[in-house]
Amino acid sequence: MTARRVAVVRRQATLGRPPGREWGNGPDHALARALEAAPGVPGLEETRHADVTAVLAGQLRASLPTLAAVFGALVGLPVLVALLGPGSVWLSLAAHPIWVALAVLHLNRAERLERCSPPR
Amino acid sequence: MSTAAWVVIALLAFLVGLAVGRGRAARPYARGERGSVYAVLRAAALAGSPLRGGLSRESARRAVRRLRPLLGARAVALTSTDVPLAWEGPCGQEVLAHVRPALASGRPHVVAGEPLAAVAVPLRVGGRVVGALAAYDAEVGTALVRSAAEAARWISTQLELAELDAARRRAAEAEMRALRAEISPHFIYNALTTIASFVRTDPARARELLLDFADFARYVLRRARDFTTLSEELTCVDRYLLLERARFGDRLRFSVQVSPEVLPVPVPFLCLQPLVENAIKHGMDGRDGGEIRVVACDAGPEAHITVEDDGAGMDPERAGRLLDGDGGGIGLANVDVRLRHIYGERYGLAVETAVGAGTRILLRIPKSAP
Amino acid sequence: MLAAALTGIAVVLVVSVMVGTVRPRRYATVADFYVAARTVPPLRNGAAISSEFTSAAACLGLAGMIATHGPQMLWYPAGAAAGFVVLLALVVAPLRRSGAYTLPDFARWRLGSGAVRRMTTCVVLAVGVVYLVAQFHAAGLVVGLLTGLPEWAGWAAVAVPSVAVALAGGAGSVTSVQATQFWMKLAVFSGVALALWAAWHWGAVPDGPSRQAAPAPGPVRPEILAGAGDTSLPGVLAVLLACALGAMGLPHVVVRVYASPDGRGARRSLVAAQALLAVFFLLPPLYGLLGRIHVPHAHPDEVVLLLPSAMLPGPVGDLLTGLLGAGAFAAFLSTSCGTLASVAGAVSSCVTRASVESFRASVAGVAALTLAVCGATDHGGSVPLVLAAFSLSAATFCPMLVLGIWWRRLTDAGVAAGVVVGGGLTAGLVCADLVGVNLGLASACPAAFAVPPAFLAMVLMSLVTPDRVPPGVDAMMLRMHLPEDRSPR
Repeated sequence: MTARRVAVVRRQATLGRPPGREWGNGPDHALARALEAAPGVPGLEETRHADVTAVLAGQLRASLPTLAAVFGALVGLPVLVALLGPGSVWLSLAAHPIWVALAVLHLNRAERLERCSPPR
Repeated sequence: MSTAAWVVIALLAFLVGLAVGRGRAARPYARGERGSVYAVLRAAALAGSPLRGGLSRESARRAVRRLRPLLGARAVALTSTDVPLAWEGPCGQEVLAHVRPALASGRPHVVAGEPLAAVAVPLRVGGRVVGALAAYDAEVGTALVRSAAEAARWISTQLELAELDAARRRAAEAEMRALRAEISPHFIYNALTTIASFVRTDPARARELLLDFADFARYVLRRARDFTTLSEELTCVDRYLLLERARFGDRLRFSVQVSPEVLPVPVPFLCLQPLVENAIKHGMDGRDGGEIRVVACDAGPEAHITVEDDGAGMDPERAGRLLDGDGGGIGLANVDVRLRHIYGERYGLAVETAVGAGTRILLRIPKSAP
Repeated sequence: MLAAALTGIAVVLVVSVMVGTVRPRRYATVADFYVAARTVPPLRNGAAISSEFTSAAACLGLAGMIATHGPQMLWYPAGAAAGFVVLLALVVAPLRRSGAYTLPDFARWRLGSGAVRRMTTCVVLAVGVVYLVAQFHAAGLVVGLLTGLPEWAGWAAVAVPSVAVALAGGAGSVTSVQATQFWMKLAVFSGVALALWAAWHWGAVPDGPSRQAAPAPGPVRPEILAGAGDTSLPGVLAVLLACALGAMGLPHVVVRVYASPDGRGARRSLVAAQALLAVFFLLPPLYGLLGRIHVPHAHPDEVVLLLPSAMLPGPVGDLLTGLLGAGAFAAFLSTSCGTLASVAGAVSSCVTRASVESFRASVAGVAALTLAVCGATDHGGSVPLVLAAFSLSAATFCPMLVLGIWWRRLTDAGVAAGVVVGGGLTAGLVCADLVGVNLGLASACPAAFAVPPAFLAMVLMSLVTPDRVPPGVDAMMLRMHLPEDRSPR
């Protein structure tokens, strides 16, 4: 290491940026663009749409029971305690095991669903 | 009054305002001759803009909604050459039968009918008929035919522009694909001769190396993908270094330093290996041994990756020429151009070097993709 | 007491700065390489998430609330942990798969609008600064209590190392630092809690409030902000709602998710965090119970720290206080570092294209802004402030994330309307409450009044602007909801 290093950066690239950057936005933007730019194919949009609907519905079916259980417990436990009287407020500690159990159940369900989701 | 009531009132007021605002916008903006020109031009622009993305059900649906008031017709429909895409007003699937003569002849066609008559005008892109516009009214006069023909011409222009866009995009993508880094033929030759030299002296080692080579080749030659993760890219570099180590033996030392947070960051495919190859080429050039250091670290919104060698270094001017792509070795220039292409001009490679001081190449990758 | 506390705080500061800036190990052999290229495992990331989540409010504030406001406050820890289940069920894996690094990035990616990005950045800034102010104020209080130094010394003691770590950090593994700090907090707080509980149980402590522990700095004001401290059933339920929906919008939690290699890893990290939090959140009730008996009239954020010397006067109490002080500082530091870095990341990439220079400037700017806000306000308690941040996040980011991930027809105009309605209602109610305008139930639980209108505004506005649905929305949905190896790329 005798000399001091000098930083070199090229001023300008020869190529401009490709168009369509306005929304093309992630690793798969080329694919998304390609799919969008294929209008004439009859039925393509419909099948994609149906695909997305199926995937969304499947995932949502996995999530909604968990969500219902969380909000049920979140509202149900305080109401229960209010009914039982102030002495039973220690029931709130029971919430944590419930959350953990729900989280683990949801994890299992979601991963199973992903393993069996239709191959693309 | 309770707060809830206030909230509801505020929300209702907001919605009413919204509806009124939208209603306003749809109505002609100003009165008089100039105002009506403005209104027509604006309606035409609004009707044409969805079609700028090409002729699809979605864009047709948006276009006909604007076209009907523009033409003053009872119903308006857009079809492709074989399916009705969208319609607005009292008509339906039968529109295809009405436009068929126009599609076949390539000229406007008037269809008499009960209760509505129709005029069908073909849409042309580059001399080819791609669809038709149909306007329905109780009776079809010259005025309607003429305005429908003009509207069809306007739509055709938009569709041609859409084709141009698509062509430009395809060109840009082809350019990008052509830029994809490729495995250098020298490396293949060197790796295979190195493996060959082991075949007799150390067959087990040769077999391992061949398998490494196969893994490396599978990664490099796999189906086109623009992006990969840094962790896969590093694994590829590791394979590559294994093969190079077999060639140089203990003379080549390397170290890798990674902070685990940046491993999942998406990076352009094969952006690191050419840099390492370059570092080995310059770092080992005519010397007894050298060290290559790869460091990947977290820098807030970016990941920084540096590839450093302690070799002879080079004249900064030569480094500049290397980045320009002349002066031997296309790899560096290729990565530089691709990075600028993907992330913008500010994200080119930075090379720090001087004669006798080794070389350090810095690669900056924004964590959220562009 | 002074010496023990100073030593404890100093140790944490030094260790965290050192660990935060230390470079990761170097790997020079092939076998080591695979260790280097190993992504963050779920348990470590889970500990890091828990570490950033267990802020001053969780460590000190919750116990204080239980001690001063009574056992109804026991619901708060339960609600705070419930937010993670909601996050897990609705948001985390799709968010990770979207590849967004910050919430504004997500908005930009999903809706393709720069304006929405700027808007969400403002909300991130607001949530982050409120969160940071809570940490700084609590630190000032703790330093003042333990050493008698003025408040700003505590602010500086948190601000300087946080800025230093955020600026220098990067070479090291932030995740490991955060995870280590979580284990440290857990060990300190549970160890001291066990010691105190044992002392109480075996009768080593005189019953009732001891004379020594009655410094009570003035009469305790009933601090009710964003519904915190409201012991009525609707008040508690509203706070639980804010907690459950607000956790998904905390900027530092979202950034942690990005450290996981994929959606599965992110989900697993969150389950690990959930389990760790379940253990950690057993502690505030214990401290709160003991505090209610022994130091009933202290400031909520001081209860935990006053407890050891009130129960065990003498060197043992001092030692335990020092330990707790160190643990509290670990909490301030880990939350502040994480929040500072994530807010600065969002701000810098919004103002210009993300770069290291703008990131550093943003870190300094956010820290300065926080200090200014700290100077302009007085300390009411960490829990109310943190709850205000939760409420704001629940009324803005929760609708944006939930609808953005699950509803194709969301538009940028819809998000803008929802954020304006939700954020405006929350900020308006909280500010009105601060200046003394009480609107009854609405002031007591802003989240319950702001979240439904925010959702409604977002949905309605999206429905009336169908033209603005971004192109390629189906591809985005597939990318978010399919596992990485099956998604069409």
